Amino acid sequence: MGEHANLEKYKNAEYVAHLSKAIKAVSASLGTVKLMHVCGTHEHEIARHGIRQFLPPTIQIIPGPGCPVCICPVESIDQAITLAYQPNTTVLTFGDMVRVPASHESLEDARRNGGSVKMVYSALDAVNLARENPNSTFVFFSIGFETTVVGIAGMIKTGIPKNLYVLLANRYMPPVLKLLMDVHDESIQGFLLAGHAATITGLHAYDFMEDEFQLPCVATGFEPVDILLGIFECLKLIKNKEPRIVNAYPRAVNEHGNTVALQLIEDVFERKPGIWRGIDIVDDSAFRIKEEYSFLDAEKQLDCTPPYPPRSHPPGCDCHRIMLGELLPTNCKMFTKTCTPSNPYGPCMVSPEGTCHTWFKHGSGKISLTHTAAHTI
Amino acid sequence: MEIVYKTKNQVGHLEFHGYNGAMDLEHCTHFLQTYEEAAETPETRIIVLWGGVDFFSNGIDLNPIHLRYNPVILAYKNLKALNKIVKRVLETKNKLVIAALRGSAAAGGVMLALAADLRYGRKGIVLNPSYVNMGLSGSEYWSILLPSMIGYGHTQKLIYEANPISCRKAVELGMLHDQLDMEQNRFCQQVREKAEYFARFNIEARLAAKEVLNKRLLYSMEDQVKLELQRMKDCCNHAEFQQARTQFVEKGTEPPQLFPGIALEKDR
Ligand code: SF4
Repeated sequence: MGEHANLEKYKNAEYVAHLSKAIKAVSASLGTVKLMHVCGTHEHEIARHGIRQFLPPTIQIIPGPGCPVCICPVESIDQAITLAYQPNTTVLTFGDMVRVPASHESLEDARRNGGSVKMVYSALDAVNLARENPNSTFVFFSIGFETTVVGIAGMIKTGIPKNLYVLLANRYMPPVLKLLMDVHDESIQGFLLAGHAATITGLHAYDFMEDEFQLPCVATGFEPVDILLGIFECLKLIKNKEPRIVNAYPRAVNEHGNTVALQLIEDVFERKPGIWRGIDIVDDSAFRIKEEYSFLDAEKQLDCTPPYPPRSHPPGCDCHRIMLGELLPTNCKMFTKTCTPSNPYGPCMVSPEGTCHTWFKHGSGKISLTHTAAHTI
Repeated sequence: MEIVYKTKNQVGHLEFHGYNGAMDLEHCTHFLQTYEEAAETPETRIIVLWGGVDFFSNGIDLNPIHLRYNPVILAYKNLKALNKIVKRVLETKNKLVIAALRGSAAAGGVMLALAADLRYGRKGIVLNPSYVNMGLSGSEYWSILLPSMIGYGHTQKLIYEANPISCRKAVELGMLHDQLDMEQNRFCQQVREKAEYFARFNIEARLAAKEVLNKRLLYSMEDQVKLELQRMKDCCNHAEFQQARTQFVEKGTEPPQLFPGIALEKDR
């Protein structure tokens, strides 16, 4: 109750109005400013609370590749599907992942067609299921960013049953910002960093944005006041020409991150180049299980090579360009027509963190396209 | 990919040989570094861009782009890298730049040549300035360079019809300034003699004239180039680029040309 009451102040209408005014003032002399966030929860909250309506039309908040389900490579889902069809083998994964279309079918389709797929709510559920059924093989299909990978590292470090394997498709966010800089040239003037991911990595993981690109980044929380504060701080940095990495979510984030969690990640995983679905292969952005834990690595221990080549998106789906911040869901002819949350055609419509799904449910919260080309952001 | 820079008699000679005339991302970065160094050497007053022997340059390298997980990202990076080179050549104030086209050129390679102050072609080479056959609208400052050199109408014809033109035709239109000898060694000798002459006689006056002339050309260049890149990005994401690229890389062919043989008049 106390915690809930505490969070209420971050939704306070008076603070929101005050910040909205401050944003107007600080952006008055700036012209059009494009900020990008890289978090599905941010887009969800921004749209749900109509945050864009509190901003001047010159301030654009562009959704980036922040939905873990959407960026999960089709190659990994195909592997999970292949495993689901193997005798006495069950694939365990989080709810949204089951419905994501892969090269030929989703995990849900595979289950309908005789494969074994179960939803779990946590890595611990997977451990318990494997313990309760020692004669079956289980594969935990792990997706998500820095926050999720800590839990998997913890699970592996504390020891898991011999009949449980991990198919790892987790991604590390910081390097993808470099790719976004390339794609957008100088048009993005700042990033809102995902507060929860920054609680793990700390702010230093983003120092390269200051050193290499001289671009401000602000770790931002998820309540309306947090988000507006993040935007305000970012605009202030732009106005003052201070390309720093700033913490606007100090109740959760510190500079060095969660050192225990970081150590855990380092003990169990290393990093390698990784596919971001439809987007590109991004150096240093995928987690890989270290050699000493390879006995539980599904890719190494089980036959998970699909009998067909991967196909990144179904034809006509522009999810990757939406994740890159180049297009809006409304630019897609299928949006709300043949592609809906109950019948998703592309990955961005599946998870509540996907931009297409969010916009279907809550609308765009008014992204202004007045200062841009007709059909690109 | 080989880039060689040598200086002689106040003239810097920059050769850049790419397989099939293609300039990939790494090549562009290396080229730009070498060019920067050349442009900063005070004793040379002229830079000659020689390209390669078989091809001057054919612009970006479609092969690695085609193999990339998302070809659009690399294509766009490669385009921007070539754009930077063209911009740097255009903005070279303290040197006169000569493009010596020993071999043929296409797309961004033609624009790289057009960025030079004087352009000489070896008799027999072919220029293909349009990007359209590859499913692209064009970059590397084409929309500034071509109309400035050959006029709006000729630009329309060259880009939309997308036919190659001979060296002689390019001279006629004003894309090249002279057609020199067909034989490689003699062509090179002729270009070297011209370059050394310009370096020796009244180079300051030539450079002062260049500054005045280029001021208009470079005016409001950035907005135009932004639009070029935006449209290129859209084209890169379009199926036409994918089809043309697949045909070119996997089958080694380009789409059939309109009136083949008519537009490409033989040199006489
Ligand atoms: S609306 Fe559907 S098909 Fe269109 S981009 Fe979004 S997920 Fe893909």
